[in-house]
Amino acid sequence: MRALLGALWDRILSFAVVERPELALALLRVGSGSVLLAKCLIELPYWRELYTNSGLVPWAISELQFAGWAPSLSGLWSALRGSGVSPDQLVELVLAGYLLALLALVAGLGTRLASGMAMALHLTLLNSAAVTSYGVDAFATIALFYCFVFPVGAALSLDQWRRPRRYDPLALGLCVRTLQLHLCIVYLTSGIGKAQGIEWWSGDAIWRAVMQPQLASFDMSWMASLPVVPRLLGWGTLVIETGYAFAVWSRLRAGWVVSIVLLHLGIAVWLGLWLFSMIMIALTVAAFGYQAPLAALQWLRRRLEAAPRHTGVAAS
Amino acid sequence: MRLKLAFLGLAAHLSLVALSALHRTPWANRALLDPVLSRYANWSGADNAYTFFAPAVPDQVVADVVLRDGEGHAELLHLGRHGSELDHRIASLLFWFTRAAPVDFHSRTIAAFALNEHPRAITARVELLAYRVPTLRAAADGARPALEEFHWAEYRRP
Repeated sequence: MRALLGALWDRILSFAVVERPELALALLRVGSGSVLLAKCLIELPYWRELYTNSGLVPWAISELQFAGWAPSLSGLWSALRGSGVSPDQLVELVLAGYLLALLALVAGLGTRLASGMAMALHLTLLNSAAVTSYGVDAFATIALFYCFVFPVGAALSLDQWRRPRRYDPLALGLCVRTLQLHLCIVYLTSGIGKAQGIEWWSGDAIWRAVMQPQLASFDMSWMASLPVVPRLLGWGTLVIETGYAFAVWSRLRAGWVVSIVLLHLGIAVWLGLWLFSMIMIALTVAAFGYQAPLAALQWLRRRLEAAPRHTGVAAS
Repeated sequence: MRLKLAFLGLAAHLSLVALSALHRTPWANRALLDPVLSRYANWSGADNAYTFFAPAVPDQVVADVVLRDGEGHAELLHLGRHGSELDHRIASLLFWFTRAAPVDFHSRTIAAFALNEHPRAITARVELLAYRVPTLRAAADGARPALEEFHWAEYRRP
């Protein structure tokens, strides 16, 4: 039994060996942090409608789902009631704190504290506006949690520049593998869920998505005359999503990463879901695509080393 | 030892992720496990399922609000019809309410918001409409998407 467990642990350790894991975690931090910064800035003009108690939905409605134990604006307001801060001022303070935490996270300054604050403030805002949330908020929660738990300041950060630290590469590798497996679960269940509906096979899912006024970026009514187009796009979506969990562990990884990036860019351009698409791209690039910039840097270095050197001595 | 503990923690986390993705919550309603795991899942995002637009794409819900002031002037407010980030969130809100809450409560919430935004208005008539998209086959035969009203109510400022 001990030998079996030992062999199992050896397999796990070999699975945890990842090339340059600190780079993947840095990309997770910078990529997801940048998208969330953009999200914050895009939502700023609507902060009253989205987050105040007199906005689209009172806090009490959104927070009904959480039985009072999740971080929320009304919880924070109750704690600060005697301080003279109004509910709207509280929302402004939380948003300002969230913005600062995200800036620090992207820069890798006080990374653990910044990510913890960003996560806590994100959850506070999300739980009080839960009924207006959609996919980008779910993945923001996931990304910020991983930024808090994983040592995402291990590379490309002000923390590492000011006070370099050594990290166990196997521990970093386990973190990267966790992110990778999580994304495999996401796309596999998403693909299987879609495949269970006839609309994704008939093309109606693509057709219905591009025809919704809130999502439509272009006039796609011509698809009714060419139903093969939405049908092929639907099949392509099923293949790319369901195949992701298998292809990324094979030689097809690079191609599949490109495919998923293109799928999300398509969602951004044709359905206007830019924030959702960008955070999904950031997560995939951090998990499986970070080696591309690494390979590009290595190629550039080889080219520079191979380039003929000028000695500065003129021929006589 | 620390590495082994880290591995066990991450494995437990991924197990939660996988179970939630499959809409399985065996810890629900269990006295000790439910509060701890539900709270952890909320903080970590492990409680998400990833079946957006699955197995089908639902009809979008929009809201039109007609606001009238004391002189009978009317103003029309469209919610959820366009593609801004605010509209994405309004669309999520409207869809949540059609699934989770009585429709009347839904329209009351919208009326309260609209009257708050337009202090001179005395009444608000809220119409909830679903954007019905025909199937590809019906559209090829000439059917067109159309808004279909499924609820209306009029409210007066107290």
